[in-house]
Amino acid sequence: MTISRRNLIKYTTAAAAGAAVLGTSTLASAAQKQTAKVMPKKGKRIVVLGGGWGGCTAAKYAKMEDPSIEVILVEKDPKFISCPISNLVIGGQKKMSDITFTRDNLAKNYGIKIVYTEAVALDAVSKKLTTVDGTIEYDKLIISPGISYAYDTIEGLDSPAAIAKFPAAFKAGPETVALRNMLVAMKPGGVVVMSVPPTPYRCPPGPYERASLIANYLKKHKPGSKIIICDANDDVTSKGPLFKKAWADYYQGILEYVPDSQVTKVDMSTGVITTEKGEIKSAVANIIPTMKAGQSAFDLGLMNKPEDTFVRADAFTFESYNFKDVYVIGDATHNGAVGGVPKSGYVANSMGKVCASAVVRTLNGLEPVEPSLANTCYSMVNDDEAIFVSAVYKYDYNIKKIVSASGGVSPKREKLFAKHEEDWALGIWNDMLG
Amino acid sequence: MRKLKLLFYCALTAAVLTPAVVFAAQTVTEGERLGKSCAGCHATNGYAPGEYIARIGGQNTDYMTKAMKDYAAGSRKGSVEMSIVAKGYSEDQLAAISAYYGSKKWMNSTNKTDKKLVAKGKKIAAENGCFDCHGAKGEGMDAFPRIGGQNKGYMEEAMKRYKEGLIESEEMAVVKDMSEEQLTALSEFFSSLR
Ligand SMILES: Cc1cc2nc3c(=O)[nH]c(=O)nc-3n(C[C@H](O)[C@H](O)[C@H](O)COP(=O)(O)OP(=O)(O)OC[C@H]3O[C@@H](n4cnc5c(N)ncnc54)[C@H](O)[C@@H]3O)c2cc1C
Ligand code: HEC
Ligand code: HEC
Repeated sequence: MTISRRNLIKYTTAAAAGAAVLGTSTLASAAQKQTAKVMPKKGKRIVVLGGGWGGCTAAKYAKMEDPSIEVILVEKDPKFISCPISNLVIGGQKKMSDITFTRDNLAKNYGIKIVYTEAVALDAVSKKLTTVDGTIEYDKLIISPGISYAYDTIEGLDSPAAIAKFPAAFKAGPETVALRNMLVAMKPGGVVVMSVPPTPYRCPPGPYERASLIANYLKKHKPGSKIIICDANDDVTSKGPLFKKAWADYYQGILEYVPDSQVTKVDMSTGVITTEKGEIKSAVANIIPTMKAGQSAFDLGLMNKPEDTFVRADAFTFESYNFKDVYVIGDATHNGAVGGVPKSGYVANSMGKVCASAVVRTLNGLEPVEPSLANTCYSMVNDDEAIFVSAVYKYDYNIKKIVSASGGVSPKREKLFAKHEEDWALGIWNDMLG
Repeated sequence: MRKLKLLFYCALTAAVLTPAVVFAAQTVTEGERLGKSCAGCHATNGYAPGEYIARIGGQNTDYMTKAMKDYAAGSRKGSVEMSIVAKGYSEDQLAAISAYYGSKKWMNSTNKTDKKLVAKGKKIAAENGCFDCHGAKGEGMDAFPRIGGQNKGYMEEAMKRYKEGLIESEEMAVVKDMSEEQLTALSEFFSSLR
């Protein structure tokens, strides 16, 4: 086998930039490739699986703490598309290009090797992560796989066509675009249904922010239309009084909130949505199913109890209960194990830093330091006003979990908070990718 | 294909690992341990890229320590986020966090500024003695904050608060009689100052 000139050029450039890009080859059988050791390990190596909010942060902060340790980031999607601010794409204030980034700076500025491939199996005994393109050895593995949807909790959401008709849009990307396009194409007078899943789910205020922005869009562009929020929970799960005040002030007759009305069934041919409280005929339906940890958390054997749908990990270091030297961070973590932190990008970012430090220090024979985390979730309620919830978290040695050290919500909605939301996004994108 | 990749990785390993410095921080300071999470809003090293969230990397430690304690005490009423956040730490911890950010190199704002407003702001600044306390380049010292190269939206909001008495400061009484237009020009000027 010879290296073609084209490939040589490609590889040389990639090597110079410190970026490893595995070609998504369809050659060779998957089985054969999975056993090939694609990255021989020399010195200390940290592998990070999942280049989202938790993973990018962990990879970057590990390199910042000790640049001599090799860090490999494994991610299946070449683009980084931000969930935060994606509700503004659905609402029409922002475009996909505003929330779409590359991870190139992680390679360029920190020497992180990025491998674009999908992880499929884990051998925690011989410390090997298997991907569809080969096997990667590690000393420490940090996993931030995000969430997956439990489609099977809703009758009728059982085919790719049905799933496409009722996009959840809680992973930013094609689902976000699909939902936006459906709203734009909808005839005035149509009913939009949004379902809110039972807690815990990614970004507690996310559905309510989105509902506000959809109502804002309908008010301006689709006279006679309305949005009905079918909430599986008994009340708005985050910033309730602030959202309800905005809905009363701006969206009377346009936004209807129905608590205790979990969606149980959808009909893709009629658009009829069935909830615990009855049936609604929808023109567009944003069905957000119950959430669980990203599929790879299940496939890689990280679930600790048969009934678990999130991963139990130690709250001090985020080392998983199941495997030594395998750490789990972000939305995939089990609140019963790590403590009462929301499943947010900010928390995933904080966890990434705590975990990276614990991993680097233990690799270097040092004790990990006590965790300190923070969270803030801003929500837009119309084109230019926002509300927020904020908290600082610390480690409680008695219960061995992360607990709140301070917290609160904005007393009211303000234009200045909308500026802060925008700047927060710029700041945290920089902190993960810059 | 497999062999090719292997070759590629060997080359890559060599390219990336050769210059690696052997470095491992033995100690993590309290300021670093606690302060890292601020970067979720203030960006890595406190170099906030936006307009309305302040740059804190390289801010003067004494001033920052005072500001953090004021936030925790709730005496900077306009700063809603910071008032909640600062309450999550003890006074010693706030001082440690401030020292951590204070020890970083200052990096100037990347905000775009308007030439005309900058010129106008420069004149107002010279006439009102801003440089006497904040230094010729707005670099400040000790309890006098650095304002040269700070983000403009943040400075404008801060000055409005001194004007309205939301932050009490005898030194900053100079802005009490200024118009919002003057404060905008001053923010543009100091943000552009290098
Ligand atoms: C509409 C919306 C609004 C939001 N707003 C906010 C907000 O304002 N503030 C806030 O703090 N949070 C917000 N969030 C929440 C935030 O997006 C998540 O909490 C955050 O993304 C969690 O990070 P993570 O690392 O756990 O998962 P992710 O960011 O989802 O990252 C997981 C990554 O792993 C990759 N991956 C998974 N499995 C594999 C595999 N087998 N092989 C290779 N790669 C794999 C995925 O491709 C993905 O890139 C919002 C979310 C939504 C949906
Ligand atoms: C939720 C986002 C958020 C978090 C988290 C946050 N800040 Fe801030 N910070 C802001 C905003 C917004 C401002 C400016 C506007 C204002 O005063 O409200 C600010 C202003 C400041 C200032 C004033 C700068 C100056 O020059 O006077 C300091 C100092 C500061 N923050 C330090 C910190 C520290 C230290 C932390 C972590 C312990 C932190 N911040 C966490 C949002 C945040
Ligand atoms: C007498 C000294 C003095 C003069 C003159 C003065 N300042 Fe200040 N300035 C201070 C001090 C001290 C503070 C911090 C006060 C506090 O504790 O909040 C401050 C704070 C500020 C801040 C907020 C900085 C931050 O990071 O939050 C800005 C902006 C500012 N000054 C701009 C100006 C401008 C513009 C002028 C001229 C019109 C000026 N100052 C004149 C002493 C002075």
